[in-house]
Amino acid sequence: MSFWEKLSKLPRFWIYLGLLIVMILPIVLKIKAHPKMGLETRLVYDYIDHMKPGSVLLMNFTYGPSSMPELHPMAKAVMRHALLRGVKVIGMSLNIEGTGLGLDVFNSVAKEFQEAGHPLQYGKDYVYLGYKTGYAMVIRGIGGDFHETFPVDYFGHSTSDEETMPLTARIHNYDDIDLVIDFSASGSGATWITYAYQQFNQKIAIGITAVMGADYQQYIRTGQLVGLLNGMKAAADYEAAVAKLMEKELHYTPPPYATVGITAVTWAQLYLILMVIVGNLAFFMIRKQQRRRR
Amino acid sequence: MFFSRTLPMILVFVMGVIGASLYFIPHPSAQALENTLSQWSIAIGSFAIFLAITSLIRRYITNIKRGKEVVYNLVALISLFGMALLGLINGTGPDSVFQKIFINVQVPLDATMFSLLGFYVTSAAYRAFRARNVEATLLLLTAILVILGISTIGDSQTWLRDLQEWIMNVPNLAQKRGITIGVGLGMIATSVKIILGIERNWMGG
Repeated sequence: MSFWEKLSKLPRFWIYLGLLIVMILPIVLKIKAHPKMGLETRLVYDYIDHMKPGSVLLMNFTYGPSSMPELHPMAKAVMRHALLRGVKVIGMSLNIEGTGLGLDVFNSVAKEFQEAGHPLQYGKDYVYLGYKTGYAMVIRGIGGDFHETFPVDYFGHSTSDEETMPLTARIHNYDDIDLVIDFSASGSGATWITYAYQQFNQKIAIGITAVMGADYQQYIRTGQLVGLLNGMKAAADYEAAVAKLMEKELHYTPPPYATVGITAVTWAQLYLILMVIVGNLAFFMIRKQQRRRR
Repeated sequence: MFFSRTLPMILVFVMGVIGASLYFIPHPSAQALENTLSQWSIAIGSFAIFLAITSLIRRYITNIKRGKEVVYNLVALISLFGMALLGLINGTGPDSVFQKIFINVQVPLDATMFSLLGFYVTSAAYRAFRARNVEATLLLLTAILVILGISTIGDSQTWLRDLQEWIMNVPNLAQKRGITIGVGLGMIATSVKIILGIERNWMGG
């Protein structure tokens, strides 16, 4: 067996080991990237940056742990940004796994603001509604009557109670919500466009995994989306920009996730490309050798 | 026959026509009716969850009775009832045991399962992604350019980012729009067939 034949049949163990090393090194060494914000991410960032204090952002979590590395830091960065601008934040979920993850995002960001010396008030600054079954009909239902769709929040508080929940008490339908941002690893973004944008003219942005990017870019040019957060790169771009804002305005540095993760992803992508090149090189060399033998 | 076939078809026809018409009628009374119908759908969705859990439990119990993968089925049953009980007794708040188990057990397990995909993809790409002909070579080069352009490397190499954006915004977008419009028309055609009773697979064939 020639060298090239041996190389083309390289045991999986070595390929896996190489990928493992490439992925772990940046995370262990905390090598942070300094990404430059892409255009689609910039659209979302600028929209939230220009929202008036007191306006309302509705965040929807429709993803599970498998998409968490991409979408979780993205959601945290968006929530930090909105709260820094005085925007009120409401959270909800259309799938069961996303409910716990959404709660984790709200809880972590609230703790960060507490540590930064700017405690937030539940019911006034942010509210977490939790899971509601019905998918498209929940999106449609908010447009009809918010309180009928979500009579209580995740903790069982009445959303109409003006004393304890002033934020949700003033929400009646999409007219009182300035932006919806859907963090999704499924097709829920299209459902938001169909029911909330088309029927109620609700402004919508979405945060998705990188493999879904090609499906949603078409909605930016048609104006159906205000912007798009596409995968780990967008998460890193947003996280880095908001970290700078927090350092400047609150003198607090939030823990980095996506800015470290994107280095691991970039290294893994380069490793994958290298593997494809080596595999093809071996393929052509073997073919050349076979032709010579003939 | 009437209750198993005719009545469901009449209901689908009536509700389908009403549901589709209400979308285009801006009158407040029509909108109020649409709101009521969407709340009904949410309530029906809750029954679907109940039905799914019941059918899942029945399946696990049948498997245990037949001695088929008893341990796995028992673990699934205990986890299902255990988590439900924990949530009901201790609550599901941020510091509850329920949330701690979700974050510290389910999240790493689920994420680990999915992350294995990265290893399989790398191995498969190494063995199968070959520039055997012109089409495969074009696909390979496009994939490499898009990967590099979309990553942090594209931040410093603007020509790579521009090229990647052109690939995504021109050829990719054109075919995506074609597919989306085709899917949309297909959905309309299927919906009309279901409402008119031509398509009956939803009743079990």
